[in-house]
Amino acid sequence: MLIRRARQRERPKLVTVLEARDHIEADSRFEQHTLAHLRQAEREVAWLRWLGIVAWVLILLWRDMTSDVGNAWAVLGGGLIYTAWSHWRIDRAGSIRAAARLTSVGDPILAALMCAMTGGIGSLFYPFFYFTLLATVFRLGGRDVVLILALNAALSVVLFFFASAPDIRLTDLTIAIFYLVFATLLGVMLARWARKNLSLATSREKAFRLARDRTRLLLRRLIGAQEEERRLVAGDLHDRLGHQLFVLQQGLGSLADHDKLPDDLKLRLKSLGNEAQACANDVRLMMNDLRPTVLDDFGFCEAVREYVARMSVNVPFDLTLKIDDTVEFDERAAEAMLFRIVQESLINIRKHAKATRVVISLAPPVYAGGGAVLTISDDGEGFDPHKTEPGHLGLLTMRERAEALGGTFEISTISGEGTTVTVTLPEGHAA
Amino acid sequence: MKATSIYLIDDHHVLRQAIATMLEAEGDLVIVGQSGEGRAAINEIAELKPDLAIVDLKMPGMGGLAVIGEIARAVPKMGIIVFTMYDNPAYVWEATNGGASGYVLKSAGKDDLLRAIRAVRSGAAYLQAEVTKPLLQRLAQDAREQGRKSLLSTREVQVLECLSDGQSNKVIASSLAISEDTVKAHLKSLYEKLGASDRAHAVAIALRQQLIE
Repeated sequence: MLIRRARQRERPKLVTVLEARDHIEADSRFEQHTLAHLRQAEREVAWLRWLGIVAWVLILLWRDMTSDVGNAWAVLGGGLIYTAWSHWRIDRAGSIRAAARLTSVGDPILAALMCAMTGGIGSLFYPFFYFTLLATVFRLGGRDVVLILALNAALSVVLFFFASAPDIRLTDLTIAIFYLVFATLLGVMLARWARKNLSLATSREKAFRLARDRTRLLLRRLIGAQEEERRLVAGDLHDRLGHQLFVLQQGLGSLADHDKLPDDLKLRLKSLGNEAQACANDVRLMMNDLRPTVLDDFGFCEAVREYVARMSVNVPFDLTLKIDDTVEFDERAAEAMLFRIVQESLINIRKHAKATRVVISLAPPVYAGGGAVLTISDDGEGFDPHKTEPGHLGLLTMRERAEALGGTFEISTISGEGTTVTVTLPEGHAA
Repeated sequence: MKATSIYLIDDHHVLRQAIATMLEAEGDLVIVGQSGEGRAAINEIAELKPDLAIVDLKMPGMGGLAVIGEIARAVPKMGIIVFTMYDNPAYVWEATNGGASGYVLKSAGKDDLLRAIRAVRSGAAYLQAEVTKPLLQRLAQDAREQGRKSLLSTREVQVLECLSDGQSNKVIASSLAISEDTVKAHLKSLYEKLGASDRAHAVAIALRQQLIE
């Protein structure tokens, strides 16, 4: 009892550790998702930038909008280099955030240069400011938003004073800056909405992973606890019930032999004695079913040989055992796991497979450093692994048993041709 | 007739008392000592040299099988009867190999234990019926497994030897003067009999089981 209580106290810690690990993982997953999205956005913005350059080329070719053709060509050259460079950097930049910050400064400067050639605040290209602002705010967010807005506004002021047509008034600048603020707010709103969606998706994924890990942990603990409990119950049956029944039986027997008792009483005492003996017999069989001590004292090979020897007279199929005795286990848990899988498989085969021939084999590692391989194959009907009932825990438990020890569990089945269960122990559990 | 002296080894005190009472009621059986602990029992038995020892298998500390080995060496003439809850063939086999000549289950009646005592005392051996059947089944299982190993045909052994030389199916076919399909058929049955998954595995198993050199 002491041991059991101590274990219970330890267990919650495990869950806490698992949860903590999950939080860290989830945070880093969220970060990874964010970065992936940012990279994607950066790529899309790069294509928009190319579109802007194309617009500039069209302006140069079709309309005589600029007073200074030489500088316009220079802006085109610079713009081309900048656009190509920013596009090239997306997949090569060490930090995509830093790359995004650079373009969030570069874009308004390019827009300002374009506007400066084509009439300042009143230029056809002035809306580029709104576009770049929207794009960068959407990508970056936070304190950066204010800085980018300030940069855009400052560039607009410069354009107003140095490059605008004489008919442009201060009201136009005010309206332009008002629109910049408006675009910024729109960008912030969109960015919030997107982040919320992303974090929702991430938290759903986290919840799912946590639930899966918990189920797995619980199942493994359940398997371990079941095995331990069975061992304890079998031990108790042996140490207490078995012995007490013997004592009871002897007591009844010696009473029945007592000379002074009437015959009918003697007879009843004798039959009670027989009853006690039958009980003792049942206890003995139950002990073995719960947890064969042979498994603990002699190991998997002997336990499975005995089990198969017993079973082979009780099953309607031909049962062949191919055990390589050179396989050595260095952990009892692995042997118990294999034994339970053999038991579970044979029960399944007997119930469902309609097999005529079953082969159980334990082979040493196929390659050096690998693990021992247990296979159980039958020539029965096979089944559809996708159609097993959800309530049927057999396969799941077998898989968890194997995987809990770091091994692998495979089941291959062909309808009408039989089923093979393959369990590979990890290196170290058997050699 | 001289009374038979018996020593009891069982960690369950009440059970030892019950056995003692039951046996002493027979008149010609005397319990000369008893112990719940293996090491102490061995020392006492070496000193008392009883005619018989009745031993439980599952005890804390030194297990019954180890105790049997020790007392059989210490007092070779003494008869040893296992009195246990376990009917598993492995225990029966180990106990009888260790020197026990009687095996009775605790779930059996008084008659079985008395029969065992009489038999062992007269120099015979006694296995309870419930124990004999699983033991025979288990031995049959061994025989089946052994039989499978010796089932390799001469041809299959030849193919195995070729395999161990690293020959391909084609080379094996020509060196044994059989068709390649026949070689494949031999391989298939070899894998089956050896429980091998491929050529290398078959050779590995065959070497380990010393089917080839």
